[in-house]
Amino acid sequence: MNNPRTSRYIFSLILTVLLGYAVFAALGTQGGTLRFGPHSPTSRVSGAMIEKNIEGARPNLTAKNHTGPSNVSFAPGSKGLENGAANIVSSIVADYRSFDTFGEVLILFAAVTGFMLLLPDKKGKNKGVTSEAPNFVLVKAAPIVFAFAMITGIYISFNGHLTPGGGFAGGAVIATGILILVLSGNEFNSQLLSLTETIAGMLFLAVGAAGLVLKGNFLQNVIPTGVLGYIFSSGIVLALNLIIGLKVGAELGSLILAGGKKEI
Amino acid sequence: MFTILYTLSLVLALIGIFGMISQKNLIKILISLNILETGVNLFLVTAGWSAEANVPIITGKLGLPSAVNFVDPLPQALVLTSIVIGLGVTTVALALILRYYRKTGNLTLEPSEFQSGGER
Amino acid sequence: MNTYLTLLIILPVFAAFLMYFFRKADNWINIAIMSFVTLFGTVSSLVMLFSQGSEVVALGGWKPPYGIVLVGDRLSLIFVALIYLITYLIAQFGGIERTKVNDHKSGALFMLLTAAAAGMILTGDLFNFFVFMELAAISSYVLIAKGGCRSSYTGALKYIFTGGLASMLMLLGIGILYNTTGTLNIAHLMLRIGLVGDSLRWLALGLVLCGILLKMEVFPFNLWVPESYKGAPAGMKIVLGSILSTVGGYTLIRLYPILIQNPGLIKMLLPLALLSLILAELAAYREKHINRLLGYSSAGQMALVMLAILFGGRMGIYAAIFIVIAHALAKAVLFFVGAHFKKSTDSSMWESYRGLSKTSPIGAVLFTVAALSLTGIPGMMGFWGKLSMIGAGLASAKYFSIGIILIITIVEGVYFLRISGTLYQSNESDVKAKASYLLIPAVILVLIIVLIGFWPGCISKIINGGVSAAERSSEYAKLVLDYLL
Repeated sequence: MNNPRTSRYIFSLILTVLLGYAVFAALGTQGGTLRFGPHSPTSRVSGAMIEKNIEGARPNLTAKNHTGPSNVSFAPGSKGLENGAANIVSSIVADYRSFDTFGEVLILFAAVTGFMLLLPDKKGKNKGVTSEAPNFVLVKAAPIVFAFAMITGIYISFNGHLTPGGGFAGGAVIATGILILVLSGNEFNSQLLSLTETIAGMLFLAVGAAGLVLKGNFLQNVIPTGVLGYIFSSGIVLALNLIIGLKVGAELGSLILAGGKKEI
Repeated sequence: MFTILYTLSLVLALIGIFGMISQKNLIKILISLNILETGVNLFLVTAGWSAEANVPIITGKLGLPSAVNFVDPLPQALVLTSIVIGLGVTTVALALILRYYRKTGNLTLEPSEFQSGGER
Repeated sequence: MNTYLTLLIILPVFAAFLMYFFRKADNWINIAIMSFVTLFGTVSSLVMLFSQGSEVVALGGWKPPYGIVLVGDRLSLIFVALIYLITYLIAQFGGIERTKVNDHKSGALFMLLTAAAAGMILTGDLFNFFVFMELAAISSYVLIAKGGCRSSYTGALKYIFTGGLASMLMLLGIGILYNTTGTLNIAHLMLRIGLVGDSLRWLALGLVLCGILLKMEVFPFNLWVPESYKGAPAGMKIVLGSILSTVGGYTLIRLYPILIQNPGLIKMLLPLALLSLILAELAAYREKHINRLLGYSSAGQMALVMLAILFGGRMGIYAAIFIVIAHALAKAVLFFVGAHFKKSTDSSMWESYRGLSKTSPIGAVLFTVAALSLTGIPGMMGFWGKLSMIGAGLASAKYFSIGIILIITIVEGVYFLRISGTLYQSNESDVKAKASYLLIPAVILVLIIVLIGFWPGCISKIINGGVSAAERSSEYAKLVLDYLL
């Protein structure tokens, strides 16, 4: 018991159990089960986002059920919706709550900038991550895999409004391609990456500013929404997904390059 | 099912909190933070989940989609944001731990650092 | 006007991206960009504050409560003007960007921090607040660590872990609130919070408050305070002391209409705030390192703000706003002058500042005035805040808390006067005053403090407008959701 390590563990355990008890007790009082909210989106703000009828919805301020008329019917092929993305999550991420995504992109930018700032800056050749030299197959195959990774990443970004995916997933796939290049000891231009990152950030701002200038609100949709289910259908969602894909790919890529190049 | 999902996600979060309080190794604290994050994200997704509802993507198979047919998409969007935030925090934390390790040669915040007074 | 409110957030971001193109240029270009952006922010927010009432911007054109809104009302504009004024002074007169290499990167982070602070104040959406909080946090972790010494890293690491824990708890709270009320908009939440059952509301609000209490440096979340204040570069100390804590105070004031509906939560927070006040000020009393002392003093002042909000009523809110502003101005002065002293004597222990009033008479005067204002001596700005705070305490019959506040004020006065006394002791050392340009912003801020101290009427109209905006949920909700009410 006199062991400080043991007493620390016991103290932490007591604290955690107390916190857990408080959480579970508060949750459990809602009708005996942990299912505390009505789960249907009709009682939440997201109901109007699914129905793509924010213009017509009138939220009820105090009652439980608060979406407006749900008489809007739409299916693939509908035209002229206020938001044309078939993937509703994408429509929220890149249109209804695009300002959150703006902040998110900035967070990634800040994190990568900070990572570069904090890592000791040792100039050196890219030696790969392992101490052994990468073998012949890896070296030769890496550029091919990289090309496929680029194509897949761009495809995922491009289709983010139709299928699961989007800018962040696509950017992560692009960065994976760069990771394979780093593992195989190939060179990659890090200046190009940081330039891409900055340009993509400025493009994001430009799309937002276009909304500000043309329609009066930052990040407002200025591109026609088209037909639901088609590739050029979602207005600002497609543009933002592409930009985010570029930016995230470049940021994560430069992170990986820095990790491979700078001595750790 | 909901009870199980909520309980498991919260237990995961609590494991993370326990790790953050009890551990001294910086890397272990960071891993605990990531476990906590995962738990909270799972909790958020569970908040929008429903067994009867569909994936929130409009396809031709559904007749006339309305809000009732779909899983709540908003928490999923929030979790997407929260995952990226977690990535950012982890990145900076790792870089910092690296710098700290190079400066001091150990991976714990020593108790002597908690006391007042100092070297400057 | 609509455009200006948005520009307050996106212009610093644009500047952050722009700096990449000047990475090989001279440092003064970065300083010029930052000064221009922050000066623009200061002027435009002041113009908005004085010219007209309130403005709501629906970002993306989606009306509230569905989309994200920026709310520039009489309360938030005060604070935006305040933080922009201080960031301008930091950017113009030294601090972060003059110390180390790699300048365009730390300049970009500083701009992102400014944007995040403005975003946290202006946003009307709870999750968006969380996003900007994390942006501010990540930028400040890096900028603290730029101090480069051991305590910078220790402080930044402690800040990361405490901040990560607190923000995840806050996210959990946001999740519970969304799950039960079905909304993330703060105004909508104020109206619908009554739908949540008592114990669940208690839990959710408690979790959300974790994130805010971290920024306010209140007790369980202030373990990072001393090391971070000690190790951070000079400019970052000012950001921590007078921008981030100010934002925390603002958010608590903004959430007041929600808090006041939960008497149980207030009963729990009151002892927490008192404990935090006592611990912080006693720690400051024992402290020999000037920056750690100022950090502890920040924590104490923010606990005072929290107490004022918990006292409640018009008077309490008035006191909270006044103390937050007074603290932000005075703390910025103290850190500017402290940095000047540090450069002159090459020491951070206040005991070695003996006789500095000879080498730097202006610095000594500025330090004393700011310290007196922070303590709440009559004729200074802090006095009016403490006065109305005691009024609020009497109105809500919290006599025990008032007693503790008065005792702690004496403690605070003693340790600040001790430092001032040290400055005015005679000593035959020949220290040269260095980096005297750091005194220019301090002079500006002290002039504001003294002006408001002798003539509080000049801003009481603005603050009263802010109090009206903050006090009742109906005001805020009417502003944001005006098409429904």
